Amino acid sequence: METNVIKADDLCFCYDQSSEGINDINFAIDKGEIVLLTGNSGSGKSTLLKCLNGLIPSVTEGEIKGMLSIEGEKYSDLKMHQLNQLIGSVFQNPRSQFFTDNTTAELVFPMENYGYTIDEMKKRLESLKRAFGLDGLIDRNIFTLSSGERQLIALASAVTMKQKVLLFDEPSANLDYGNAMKLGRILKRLKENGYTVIVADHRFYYLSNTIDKVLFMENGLLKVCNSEDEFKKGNYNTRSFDIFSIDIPFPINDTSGKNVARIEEVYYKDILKGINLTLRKGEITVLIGNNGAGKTTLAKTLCQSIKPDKGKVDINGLPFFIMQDPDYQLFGTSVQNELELVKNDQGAIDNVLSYLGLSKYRYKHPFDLSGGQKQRLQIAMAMLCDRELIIFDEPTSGLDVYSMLSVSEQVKKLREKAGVLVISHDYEFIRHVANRIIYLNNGVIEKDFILDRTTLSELNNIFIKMQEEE
Amino acid sequence: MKILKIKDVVMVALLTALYFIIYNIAGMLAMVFGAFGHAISPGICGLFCGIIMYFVSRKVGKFLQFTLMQAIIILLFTIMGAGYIPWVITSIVAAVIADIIASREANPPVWKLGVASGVFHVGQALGSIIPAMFFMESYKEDWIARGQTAEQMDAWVEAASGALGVIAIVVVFVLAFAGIYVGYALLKNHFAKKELQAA
Amino acid sequence: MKSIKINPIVIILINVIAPTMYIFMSGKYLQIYLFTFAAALFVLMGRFKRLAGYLIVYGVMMGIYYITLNIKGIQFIGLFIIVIIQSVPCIALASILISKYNSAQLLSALETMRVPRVLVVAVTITLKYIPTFRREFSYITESMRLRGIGFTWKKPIKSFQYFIIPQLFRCAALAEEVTAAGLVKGIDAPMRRTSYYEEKATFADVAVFALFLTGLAGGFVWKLM
Repeated sequence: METNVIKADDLCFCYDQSSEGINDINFAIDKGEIVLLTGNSGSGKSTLLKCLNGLIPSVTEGEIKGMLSIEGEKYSDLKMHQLNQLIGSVFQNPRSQFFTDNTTAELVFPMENYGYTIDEMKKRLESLKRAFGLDGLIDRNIFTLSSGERQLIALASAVTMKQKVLLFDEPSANLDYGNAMKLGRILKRLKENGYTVIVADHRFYYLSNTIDKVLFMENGLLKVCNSEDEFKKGNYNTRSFDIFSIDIPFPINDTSGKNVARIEEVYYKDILKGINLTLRKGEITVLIGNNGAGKTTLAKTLCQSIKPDKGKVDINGLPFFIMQDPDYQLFGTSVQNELELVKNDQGAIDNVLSYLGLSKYRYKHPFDLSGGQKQRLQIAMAMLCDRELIIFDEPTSGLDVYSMLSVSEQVKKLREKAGVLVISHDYEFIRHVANRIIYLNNGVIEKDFILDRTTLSELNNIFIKMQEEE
Repeated sequence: MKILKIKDVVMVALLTALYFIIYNIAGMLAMVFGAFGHAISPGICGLFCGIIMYFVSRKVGKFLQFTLMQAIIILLFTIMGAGYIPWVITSIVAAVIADIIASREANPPVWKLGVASGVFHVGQALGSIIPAMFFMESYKEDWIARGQTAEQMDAWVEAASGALGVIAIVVVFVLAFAGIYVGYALLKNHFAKKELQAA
Repeated sequence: MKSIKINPIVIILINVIAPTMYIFMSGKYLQIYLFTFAAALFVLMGRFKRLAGYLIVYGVMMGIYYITLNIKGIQFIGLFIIVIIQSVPCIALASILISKYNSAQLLSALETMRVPRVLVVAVTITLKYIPTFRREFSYITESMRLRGIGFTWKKPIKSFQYFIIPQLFRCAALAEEVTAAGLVKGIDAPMRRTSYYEEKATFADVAVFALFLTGLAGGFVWKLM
């Protein structure tokens, strides 16, 4: 009897436009397993994922060889719309995976496409509501949902056709620590209900003690580990399972730098309630807190894009602000031109380009760079600018371990010339860069301390607390 | 001649959303010029949206791309209660002509795109000009009853039709044509990188 | 009196047909008829505030029309005004559509009109991204300000360029993601699409529409007489 839900035999794929691809992929996934698909950027992880959700070959063109099957049926015999009634996909970008602005409309959208009657849709909607606890989320504007609620809607809309296999594409990229841990618990429950789950992600701390199988991609080749333990023993340089156990030296703290910004008794609507803060050159301050705690609003007061209702913001000029989504702040016609817009000094530009390994992309269009390269370009801009304060908003979301490590090196370099404020929920990254931690909760600074051996437990406690709150 | 794939449809739909936002801004700018402004608002839109039309041509470059764009605009206005038949007909016919002019080849010359955009936007403008002319015609008797001579009235309506009609059409065409060149000028450097990289 | 609910498709069809009729029948009859019809519909739907606003706007515009008509030398202004007045009832009905129905309900009208699936999907996407892009334009202008290349009327072309080009390239990147998300939700499935929000025509819908058509027919009779 066929028990494998998904099976790959000597699967190969080669892109039309480049030499990259995946080769000799063999694996079998059984019903009810939770499978982690991981590997660094460029390892072939996304290519394999696209094979699984059918986007290869229906959108991305190239040469496909070997065999892939789902529940005994060959992928090559299935049309895209048939495949998607068997397999549900949850993508990572909330901006591009919703088709409407209303949660109910979003949940019925696939059913409308498949021609369900209104009665069938109502019934299915009811059972989804029960299965995922969506009572408070029906008929809401998607834009006003929290990231965790959005994830839940995306998940529920992926199983509207009663799909029993679920694919997740980097779910942790847009979730804070608390919501990622919550997703881990949801996945466990799905498993208990007979779902087969495949999660492709760089980070997997939230899947600790949950994984049945690991598909590890490296240079287009696959290594299968048949248990979480086997994977842990494998010594792959990947992001950690147990984030609190990592051992990283603490950066030297230097509080002698001059003040670059001061906030005194700042109130803003219901969001900020009496904030006092001084930022210094040479210091990397990390701002943590759950969604809605006021982190972004605090950064905005420093950027003078919002005026506080009460209190004083004392800052010399504008800070350099690096948004989470680089696409909003790239305006140039090429990498070179982008940097000229910051500072027209060819010598300095050459220096940062070679320091960041961007020289060969000099004439590339900023929008043709990969995610990691765009990130480096933004850091190059920060290095060139003459601002006294540099603010980063979630600089490591969606980065693999190597990119994360290089970003942290570069951020540390920036402290030589400016004060740095980082908004982040990436524990590993925080441990690499932070001198000082500020914990914002409900618009109030609850903790503000220098990070060293003695205060580490305090940071860990905050993370545990954030998990419980969500 | 390539046909539109689902990805092209999505791309055109997204760019039309952008077009729509600018269309509304242009409509508001045009109100400054009153009824004449209303008649030429597609031209003002064409001036600002030339860059979008140019981008569609360079990134999608397939037959019926402009027809699809116009169809989306028409349906959007229709479900918001602002679609009416003369406008639907002139717009869609003009869009098909625009596609015949500039969407049959992958990289049409800029002047062809200019003409296509001109036709595309004149099509939109005609929809509001034609009914207005009929309407004025039916109001002639009103004025005549108030002591105007029929000849004088004819002269007026003609002048008004001239202002609203011929001049508006020419203005719309010229603005939309210029819009493509604005788009070309602004995007030139952005599309130039491939040659530079090769060099 | 209990207010009635009207299927959005009825109002959409009325607005599609009404302005077209100016070509075929007396403008004066149609103008008076549409004015009365829209007012009556407001009453039936219980939208009294909107009715008041509608009457005021209409009254003021007609006032200007008659004043200019009786002053020699500026009579031509009336010509322009009357062109705008003719569209006021339709604009008023359109405002009801936008304020009373959500976008999913409006989109369901496309299904009723048997619009091809590919266009329904395209319009759905366009409609969703209009507010999204509007919001993002504010992020872009904010980012321009922080970069020190903020919008300025002194350099309108450069400013326009910084403003629009990132969004164009983002659309190109976004198209791929949206296509992927759409395909896994069956936007290319071969069966006829349905709509959760599509409502069957009620007696009130049919009655309102029939009344509207009768009134139009009256216009032709009026012309013949």
